[in-house]
Amino acid sequence: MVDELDFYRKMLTIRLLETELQKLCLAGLAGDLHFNKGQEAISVGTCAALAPEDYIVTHHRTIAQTYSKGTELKPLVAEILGRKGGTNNGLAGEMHFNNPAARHLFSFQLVGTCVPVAAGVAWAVKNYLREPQIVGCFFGDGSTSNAQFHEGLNIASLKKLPLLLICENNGLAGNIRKATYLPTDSVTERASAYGIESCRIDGNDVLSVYKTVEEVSRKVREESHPYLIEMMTTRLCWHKQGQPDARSDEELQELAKLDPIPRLGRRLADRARERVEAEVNQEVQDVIRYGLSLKYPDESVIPQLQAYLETMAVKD
Amino acid sequence: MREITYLEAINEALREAMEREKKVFLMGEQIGAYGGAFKVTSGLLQKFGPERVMDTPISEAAIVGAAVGASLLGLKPVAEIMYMDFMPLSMDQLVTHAAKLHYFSGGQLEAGMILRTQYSLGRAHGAQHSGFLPAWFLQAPGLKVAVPSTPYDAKGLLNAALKERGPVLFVEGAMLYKSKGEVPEGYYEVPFGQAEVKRGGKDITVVAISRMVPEALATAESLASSKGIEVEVVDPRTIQPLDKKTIVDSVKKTGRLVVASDDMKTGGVGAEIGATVFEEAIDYLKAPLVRVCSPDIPVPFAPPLEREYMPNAQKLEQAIEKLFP
Repeated sequence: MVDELDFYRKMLTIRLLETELQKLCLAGLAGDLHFNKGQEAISVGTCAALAPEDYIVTHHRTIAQTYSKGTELKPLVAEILGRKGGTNNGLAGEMHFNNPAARHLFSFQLVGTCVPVAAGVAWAVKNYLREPQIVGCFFGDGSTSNAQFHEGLNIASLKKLPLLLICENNGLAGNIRKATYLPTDSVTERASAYGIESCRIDGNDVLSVYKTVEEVSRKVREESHPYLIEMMTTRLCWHKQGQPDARSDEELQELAKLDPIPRLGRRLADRARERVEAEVNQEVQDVIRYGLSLKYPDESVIPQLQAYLETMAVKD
Repeated sequence: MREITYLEAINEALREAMEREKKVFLMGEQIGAYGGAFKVTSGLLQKFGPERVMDTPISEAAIVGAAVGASLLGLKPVAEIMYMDFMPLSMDQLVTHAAKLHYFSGGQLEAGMILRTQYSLGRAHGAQHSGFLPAWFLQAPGLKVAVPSTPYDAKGLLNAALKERGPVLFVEGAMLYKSKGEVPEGYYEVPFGQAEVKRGGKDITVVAISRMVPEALATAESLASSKGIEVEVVDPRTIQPLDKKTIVDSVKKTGRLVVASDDMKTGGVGAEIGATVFEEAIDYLKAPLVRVCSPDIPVPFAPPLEREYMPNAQKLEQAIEKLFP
């Protein structure tokens, strides 16, 4: 359902959370993080349009997808900070988020590698579970140069798998620009080469993202085949901490005019919007404080982990 | 007991597993109607249909990637990678993802899948179709590696592999496909991490891997009759996990260790086995460690060169004789 205020709340939550986390990064209190600033509309709109039972498989810029798919803030922040109480007990960190309970299966740090895995999940849904779920696979335009992206598309098309391919096209691969890695005008052309239907939309318009995913996911579910949506977006942050942006301040300021959050905010009534802003701000402050109050996992866990790896193998 | 070939034993294990459990399915290049490059999956498409026997494009990364994805939802994929030399194309999915998923997720995810592959050393298949490269996979905690040498072990290890919650690399020896041995009908397991003493002996321990197991047994026969040297042949059967205890106990008894394996000497499985013995039984050694392996060069194509390149029963015998001047 289109709930503009809820979309706004979620996008703002991601934005403020990342802003706070960045401060912690700079203070040396958080490890390697990849932020989503400017791309929030894609995760929020897509996950709202997918069914709760649908699966997602994602890339490493993944706080936005994890949160949008339903992981609670507390375990999410705890994991980012590597603390006890995290979604994965501090073993995964931001880059490897996974929360099968929320049907966020895994985040793949090596870009492009999520695509064949998502195809395998879709194969299992179609041929084994035989349930009406579909699989949403998030990746960036930079990863579409990777062989695994192509192998994944090829096999998904051949086997007619219910796979929704979400390309977050921010025109960047790390710190290099499109001209260095994409010889075609669009990523949709790459999909066409594998006989996969596709479309390109404004990924900074959360309402358009939602509407398109709602429509396309119905098609993927009913007709069982892959479909690629190329969502044009803007990365308003560095690739990651420690790698200053190659773009000029002027360019970033120009891009900030396309920021999806104020764009949606302008559609909302001031009072409602301000109330949400105050609530989100409070919630984010609280959860950061909560995260910092948690303990790190005890170092004595290392030999236990070794034993665990050796013994976990055989089901009784 | 009936005797069947190593190849038939694997085919039978796959068929029985698929009959037993709906979640088992096969995927790989030309494994369906064609029955696989070596015919290991022969007849299975006809019996189970294309939803359980997936013919894939030539696409090693996607084969293993899709196997990872399917395993996350509870399927038990058995994927075939035609030659072990092709493993690097799927290494990312196997080592970087599948092996770590269970651990990463704090136990919430499982990538229980089997990757079958084979090595063709001895068949004049050239340097990119002959490699035996097991040591690559010893630095991937969470991944297990089986190297069966007999039809009995092949079927039993495959059955055990199907119960694993993490990925298993199952390395078949193509030179062993036609070898025959006793194999029970129906279900049994050969547990992982349990070596077998294929022949008892008091004078020297030979830890032999895959194709070198029958070679080592031939050496043992020959030395027993010609020199009265009693060779104990230990087959680890899985190199990850490695049954250190059986190996170390054997060396404590015999005081001498030779590792016989088709992989290259430097950084190979023999190095790990030797280091283990140095750590745990160095005081028992009466002679230096000897490794009878392939030299550190790519496999030559010309059959006489390949024969010269490969370890075999004769070379093993000569190496052992030197330890008994």
